[in-house]
Amino acid sequence: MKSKYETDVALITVTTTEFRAVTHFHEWKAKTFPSDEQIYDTATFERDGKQYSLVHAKASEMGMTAATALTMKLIYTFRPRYIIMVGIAAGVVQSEYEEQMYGDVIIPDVVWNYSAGKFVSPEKANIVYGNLGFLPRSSSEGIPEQILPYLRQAAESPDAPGHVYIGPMACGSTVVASRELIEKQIYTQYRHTAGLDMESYAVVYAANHASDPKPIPIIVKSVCDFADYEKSDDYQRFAAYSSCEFAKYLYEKILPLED
Amino acid sequence: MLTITKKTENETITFTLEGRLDTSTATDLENEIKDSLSGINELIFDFEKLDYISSSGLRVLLLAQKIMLKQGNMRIINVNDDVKEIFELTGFSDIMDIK
Repeated sequence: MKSKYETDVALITVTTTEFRAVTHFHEWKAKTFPSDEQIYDTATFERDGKQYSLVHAKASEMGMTAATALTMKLIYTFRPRYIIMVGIAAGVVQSEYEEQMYGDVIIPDVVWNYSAGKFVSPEKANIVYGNLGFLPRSSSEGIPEQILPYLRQAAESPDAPGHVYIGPMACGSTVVASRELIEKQIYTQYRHTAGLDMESYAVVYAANHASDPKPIPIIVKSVCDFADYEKSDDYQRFAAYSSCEFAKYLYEKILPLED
Repeated sequence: MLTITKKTENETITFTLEGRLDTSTATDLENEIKDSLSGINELIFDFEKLDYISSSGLRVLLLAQKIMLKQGNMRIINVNDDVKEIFELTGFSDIMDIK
């Protein structure tokens, strides 16, 4: 019986660093469509002697708007079974047991938009920045339940490349280099948040609300900094590479690829 | 499979690695490093016989560098072309002393 999906895995990136990391792992061919300015790259991968299809596209800019638009285009053009965002994130895990390192992989089980809310006078809010109060109106999207056991299996596997955290990913509209925001706005709402990025909520929302056949959204991002004053670009290439390496492990070894 | 050979000379320690530094072997190297660096001010990794390194292996190098930044120096020598490509792709060639 023919699958309702037309492509097995769609990969989505945002920065040039992330794009370059993805290109390392497969032999890609560019694909374009009339009246669509987006360039897509296609490839295949093999599992158990069978070929499966991949498509990859890079968003035109950072942030949720461009990520939403590209996710929708990938879904409706290619009808993928999985849409996987790979790339870089800030690490914000609080743990007395182990230290989060550059390159550690974060796979969210829920993504939430921390930047939605209302600025008010400080006496009206519990979150205060100088002369401004902030009333959060955060929203969240879950990674589909049926895929979570596979993600946990991959995270715990002795064969998995990299060190993996599964936990909430906070998503917002701006680059963050301030622990004050993390303490006041992130931990107060989702104490176990593992990472911070600028696009994951958009990708998961778009996939969860697409028409059938919906793809399953997965986010695989790696730690490139810790969203503080020491933030730098030094580890972005490593983070992009480790996230792609883990994502490849997921779709080549773990994720179910048949109906 | 990874073979780790350790040689200590005064305050310098050299780890010679043979095989693959990946998820299945990275923990062994990490444990060796953690047990060996007390009183060391120079750490050398000899990668002449190292065939492959994954993100897990790179993580161990970051851990080692973090320790050595407080007490001395770390360098990686005799890197082959395949491993060198990984170091360049991941930016490690810019953040570590690699020859």
